[in-house]
Amino acid sequence: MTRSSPPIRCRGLSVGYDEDPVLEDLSFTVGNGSTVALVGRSGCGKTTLLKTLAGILDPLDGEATVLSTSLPQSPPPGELGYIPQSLGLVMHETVLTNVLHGRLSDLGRMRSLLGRFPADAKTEAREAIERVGLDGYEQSRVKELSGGQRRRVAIARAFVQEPRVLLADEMLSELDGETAQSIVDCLVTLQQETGMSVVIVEHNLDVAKDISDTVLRLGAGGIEDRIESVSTREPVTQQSHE
Amino acid sequence: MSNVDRTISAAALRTRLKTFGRPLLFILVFVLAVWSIWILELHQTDFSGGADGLTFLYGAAIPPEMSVLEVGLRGLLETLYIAYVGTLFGVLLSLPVSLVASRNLFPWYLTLPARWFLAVLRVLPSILWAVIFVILIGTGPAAGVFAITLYTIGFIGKLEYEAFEGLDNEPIEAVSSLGATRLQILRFVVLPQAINSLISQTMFMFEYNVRHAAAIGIVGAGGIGYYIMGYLDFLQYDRVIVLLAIVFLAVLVIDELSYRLRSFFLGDTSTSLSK
Repeated sequence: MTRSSPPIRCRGLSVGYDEDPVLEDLSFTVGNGSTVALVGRSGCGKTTLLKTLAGILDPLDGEATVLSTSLPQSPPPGELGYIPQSLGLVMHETVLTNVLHGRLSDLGRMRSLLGRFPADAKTEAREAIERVGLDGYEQSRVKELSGGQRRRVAIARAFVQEPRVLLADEMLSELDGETAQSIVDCLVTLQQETGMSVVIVEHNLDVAKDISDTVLRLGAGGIEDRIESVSTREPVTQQSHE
Repeated sequence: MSNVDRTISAAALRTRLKTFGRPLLFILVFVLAVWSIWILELHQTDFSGGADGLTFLYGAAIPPEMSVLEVGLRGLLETLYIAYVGTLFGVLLSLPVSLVASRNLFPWYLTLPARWFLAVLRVLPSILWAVIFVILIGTGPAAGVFAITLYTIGFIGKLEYEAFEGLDNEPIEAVSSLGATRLQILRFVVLPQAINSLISQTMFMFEYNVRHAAAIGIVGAGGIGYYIMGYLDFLQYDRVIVLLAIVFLAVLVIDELSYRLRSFFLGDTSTSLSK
């Protein structure tokens, strides 16, 4: 895939569960290095769309290409990052181990069996932990951390993975303004360094406009509205909770 | 019918089932109990000879013959070895099968045969497996170890795949989308998430197997049960009672140890209503 072709392209895509479409006839592209926010009311299909793009759900109809791979086939290992609503962290494991999961695609079979990561992967993971402001927590178990700290672990995992596309589901929900801002800053830094594209689910329209280049408002079984926003990256204010 | 209508009608059905289902369930449980008692003729049980039997047993077993204490302890130790080795082998061999039997990890055409395999091993209790192995390889503790191992695979394998299926699916999905292989998902997500349950189940299985390892000796598969059967054959109840007391005390101690260890691995389970 050339860098110029968009990493995500959907044409007439329908998504849902068990042949029951939640969203139909979706057409949009996500350009290199850009951020697209999906907004809409609870149950409108934001997470379903994200799970489909992540390869967890099969598309019901239409075409979707993620990193030059047509769904439901998986893109090359390690190029796609996905942070689900509950972050997808292994709670009983340490922060360091969870961050190292971002390098699993580089690990051979024997190292996988033994659970041994190479020294350079560990160094990178420690650096990533430091960059998200969690230095000193390497050996803490994730279950002992606060919600904001856990989100930082998920971002550190993405730092280590350096995916071409990151799909993040409600990364900022239930956070106070200051913590949300620090999470956005981490995400922006990662994006600037790696040039990755981001699709983020966000229920607050103002926040979505603030952190993205394009906002897709979902509802009534499809895309209701497209808002091309000029991202100012200004501080995120207090989140409203659903 | 829209999704919202479907959800509402499903909720209404659930409410109706809850309203009428519970009294019906209680009635069903009661009727089934009465029916079973009737079929088994429990109501016609004759207890009149019980007192004589108790007097005979008391006279034959008291005072206990304490000289068999050493034999009993040796038998108990053999029982513990059988339970330990059988549990260890059973747990290790059950793990790969139970992983394949988990519906959230493998497709149905693999989970189904794995579940059947575990079910077949559970069909026979360990004492019947012991009878089979005594026929195949002769009397002694080896038959006991094989019997306990096979039953453990079937029993704990079911507990394990239920634990794997109860895991939070989002870490599996997240790590899977990072490009992890199935082996890596099992090694780095599934097993670490389930480890406390697995340790707890293993403790429970060992405790369970100690009791069963004592019983399988009766059919010649080694351990303290072998000696109990020997003394019973010669009606030496004063010796039998000593060995039974040893088993009773050992099971009590292991029960308590197992409970404490399981509480440690699963977190504090000592919440009491009396607080």
